[in-house]
Amino acid sequence: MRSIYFLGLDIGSATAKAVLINEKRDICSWAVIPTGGRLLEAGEKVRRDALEIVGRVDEVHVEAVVSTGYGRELVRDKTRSVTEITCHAKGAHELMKDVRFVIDIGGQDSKAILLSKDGLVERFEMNDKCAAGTGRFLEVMSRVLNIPLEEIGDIAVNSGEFAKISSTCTVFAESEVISLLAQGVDIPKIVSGLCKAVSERVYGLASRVGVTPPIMLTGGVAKNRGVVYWLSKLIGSEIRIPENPQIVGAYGAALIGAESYLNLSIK
Amino acid sequence: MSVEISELLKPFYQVFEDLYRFAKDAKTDGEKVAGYFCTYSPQELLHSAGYFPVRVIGGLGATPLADQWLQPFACSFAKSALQAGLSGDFSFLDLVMFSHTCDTMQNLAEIWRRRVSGLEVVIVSTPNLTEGDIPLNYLMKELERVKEELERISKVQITEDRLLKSIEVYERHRSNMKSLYALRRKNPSALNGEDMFAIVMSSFLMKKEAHNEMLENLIQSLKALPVKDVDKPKVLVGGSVCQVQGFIEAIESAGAFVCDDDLCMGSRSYVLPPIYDGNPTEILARMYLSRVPCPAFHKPGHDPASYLLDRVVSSGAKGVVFLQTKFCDPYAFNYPHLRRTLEKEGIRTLLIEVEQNQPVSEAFKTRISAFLETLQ
Amino acid sequence: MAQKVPIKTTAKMKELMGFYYMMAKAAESDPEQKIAWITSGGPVEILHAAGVIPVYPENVAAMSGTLKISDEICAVAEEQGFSRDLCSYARTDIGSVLSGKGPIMGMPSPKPDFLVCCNNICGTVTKWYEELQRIFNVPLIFIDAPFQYGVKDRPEAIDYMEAQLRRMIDQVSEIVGKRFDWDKFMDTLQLSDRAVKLWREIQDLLRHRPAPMNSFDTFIHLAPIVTLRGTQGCIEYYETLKAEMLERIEQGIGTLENEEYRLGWDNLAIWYKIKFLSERFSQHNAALVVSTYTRSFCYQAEDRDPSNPIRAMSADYLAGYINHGLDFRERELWQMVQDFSLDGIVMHSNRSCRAYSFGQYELARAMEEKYGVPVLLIEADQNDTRMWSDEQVGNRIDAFMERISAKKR
Repeated sequence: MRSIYFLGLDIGSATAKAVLINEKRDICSWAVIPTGGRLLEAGEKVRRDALEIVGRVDEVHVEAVVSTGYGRELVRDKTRSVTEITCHAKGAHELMKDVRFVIDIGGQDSKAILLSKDGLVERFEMNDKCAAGTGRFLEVMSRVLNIPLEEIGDIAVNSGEFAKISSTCTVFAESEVISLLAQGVDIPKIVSGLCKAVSERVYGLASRVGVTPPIMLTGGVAKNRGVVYWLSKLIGSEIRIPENPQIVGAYGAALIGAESYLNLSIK
Repeated sequence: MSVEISELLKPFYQVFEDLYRFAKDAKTDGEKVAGYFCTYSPQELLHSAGYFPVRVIGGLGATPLADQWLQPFACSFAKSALQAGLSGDFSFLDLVMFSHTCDTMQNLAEIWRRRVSGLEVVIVSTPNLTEGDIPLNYLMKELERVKEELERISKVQITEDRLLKSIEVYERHRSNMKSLYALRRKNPSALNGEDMFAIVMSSFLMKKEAHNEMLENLIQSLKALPVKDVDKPKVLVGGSVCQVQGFIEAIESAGAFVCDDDLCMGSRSYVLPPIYDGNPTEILARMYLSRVPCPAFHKPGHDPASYLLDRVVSSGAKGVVFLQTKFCDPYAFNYPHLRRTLEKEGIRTLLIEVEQNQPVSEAFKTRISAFLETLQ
Repeated sequence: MAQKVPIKTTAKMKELMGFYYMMAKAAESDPEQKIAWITSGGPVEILHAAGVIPVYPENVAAMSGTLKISDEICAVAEEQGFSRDLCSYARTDIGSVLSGKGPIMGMPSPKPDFLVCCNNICGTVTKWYEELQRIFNVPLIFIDAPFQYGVKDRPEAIDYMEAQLRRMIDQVSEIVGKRFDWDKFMDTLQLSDRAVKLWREIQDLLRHRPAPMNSFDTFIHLAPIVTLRGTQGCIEYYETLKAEMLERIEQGIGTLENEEYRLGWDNLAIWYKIKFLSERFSQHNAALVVSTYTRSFCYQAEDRDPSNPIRAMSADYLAGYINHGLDFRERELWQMVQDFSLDGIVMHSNRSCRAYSFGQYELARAMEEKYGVPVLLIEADQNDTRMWSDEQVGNRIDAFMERISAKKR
């Protein structure tokens, strides 16, 4: 018997993510690639990448394609499109049934989602007007400090101490960092201070929604141990990180595809 | 929707082609045109002094000229209006009228008076306290003063008779608009939010006499429609200024039905009790003070949240979308209370921060879609 | 730099304010003693006459700013949905009420029995006090002071104020449950009048070269005129301060070793950066000697009639700098430049205060173009440190002072 699959595509501003699941809702393959500003092409490529893992692209029988993310409308032959809010909630709930709160820190926006006990979206807020509180902030700062983005989290955690970055504006914070460097402050301290600054901003967003544990952190920034450290400290609660925090939205999209195929409620 | 009704609606949409087409045509025909910033401006006085009053609405786009005079933390309504004023977009106006509301508009009036040339500026000191005889007496005196100022500028004598006639035109208009809002309650499918927005916007930009006629024809035809509810999730839109055409349209194209509003460019300008007897300035003063207050005002005994809740319940809305104009303090101060009250009653809310000089963004659409997903 | 001679009266102020807040805090548990929260420009004399203790949330918020605890308190209000774009005093105060944290020995202000809000300083207080009314569920007395667009205050507006103040007297008497003591009221008005005049005289002493203190000092010494206006203690305090200033003038004591430049300040203080700013300007031998902000608390109406005290009071509460349009503000600024021999004006473009800040660009242009007075605009916020950058502001100050010194040479 031929297996059937469901594909979730999350086309974000920074990266495109694809997750392929089977009828049993198991993840069969996934892929993440940088968008590079070309949403349409990235969507095509990440889809191929995910399909190739399970077989020949034209032979994999995909029953439903659900797209999400800013580029969700650009995806060809989609079964439907759903916002990343609903998808993240869906994915997070599937991964850990008791999760009540999802914080997603993406490249250009961050969101906080309160879930009901049954995993439905109760309330949410998004930040996208300002780079502070998003991955972009750390990206800018990693360039200023000339440190690879991936190393920032570990440097912050190992620092022990932090330098106070009070400004929440990316431009102002950049000049603060430069002045701290000029004063000879240790780079790890600055890095830790930057992770704290992002966390404070995200914490502000989350507080407006009403933080309710258990909490899951998703999105690329969830891999940054410095942000995880500060965020859990600010919230005063442990934060759970899924194995692949970047693909939770795409996973949720795939689940929605499977459920609508199996004629279940999409809630 | 029947062919006939879509035909009747078309003329309301004309304003979106060029907001000031009617005003400019009138000017070309030798009439005097006055812009007003806020619906607390006594338009009846302008009307009786021979002006065609039109509401000042800013445009989309960057505001480089206004940025010379207003800091980055000024609201986009003030900026876009000043930009239009400074770039000469309002050269067809003979006069602009400010009515005292919030701190931003107060200082905008001052900057405008000193920097925008070629038109008269009249500022009405509307009281920010809107309950009781003390502000009533003050406003009556202020309206007398404004009347004299307008007489001096226009060289038209505003007789009691003239003013009463203008009041009649405006009262008829308010009553038509109220009927329309009431009709939407009874028969939600009669008009969608986008249509209603076109009607409201045109009401600020067309002659009241012509608008009255269009409204009366429309209402007659709408009344003949069978009563039918809509099968989309109904939402109410709350906020202060709402001058971007795309906002309501985007909410509806995401799959919602905007069944009612609590906007200053919307129901708040029209939901008032009928007029009183008395001399014309007293009629006007009582009427303006009896309005559902602008969030910048203080009206003892008025709770904006229970007012909003009433509107939500009676319109059948399942959720409320707050279009919070960035840096609009009066509304932002109300928001936590509004949200608390609604959520206590199980009504879902969504806050979207908007700029009144920017078109609908992708983020706007995403938020609306996500909100609708939670309503289902 | 020569040893700075500290202002001795400062110690007395700490004592005076400490006593005031202790007394107010103690009154919280006394059911007989009514407490009212009031805006800084509110008609407090009516409260004193009725034996009510006034508490000023703005002053408490400024203290939080000075103690650098306002950011965390603001965050509590923000969590409840109050936008970060709103006034940081309002956020600090509401956050303080909600969190139970504050600058008075770690505590918030004593709870009010009623609220008095006068919008002669801004429209923000209207909304702020409406929220307080919802939180505490107590009466709110609202005094609507019409903004005066023209240079001359309108008599109709004074009538309107008078009617409202008379009604306030009735409202307060009803809340307190006592007949209004008109004699005490007249005495209070006189005490208030005396304090306001003293505060103006003290600030006028800064015309002297070198100025016996600077604007950063006056920001601190402002607290009694705001919170204790109408009391004997306030007068005694300012008499002491005035005597000390006269003494300093006599001895030639200034705040800088070499007072080369004199500057004016516009808008509220930046409470968490007073030291930084003071030091930065000192490095350039520049003294700030006058501010529209501290002078706001000594405005009296131009043609007030002292023989009709409640009428004069009605006029005075309309007469402040910030309750006026740009023609008035321009006139006042130019007068300050002349009276205090200013070399330039520093304008704090204050994100929190739209009422005070919008129009500054226009005023700056007028000062520069009409009168040839250099103006520096500093983008900041009265209480919210998150809008601040030492580097950028410091650079601007340096560049401004270079410009002024080049001009003077």
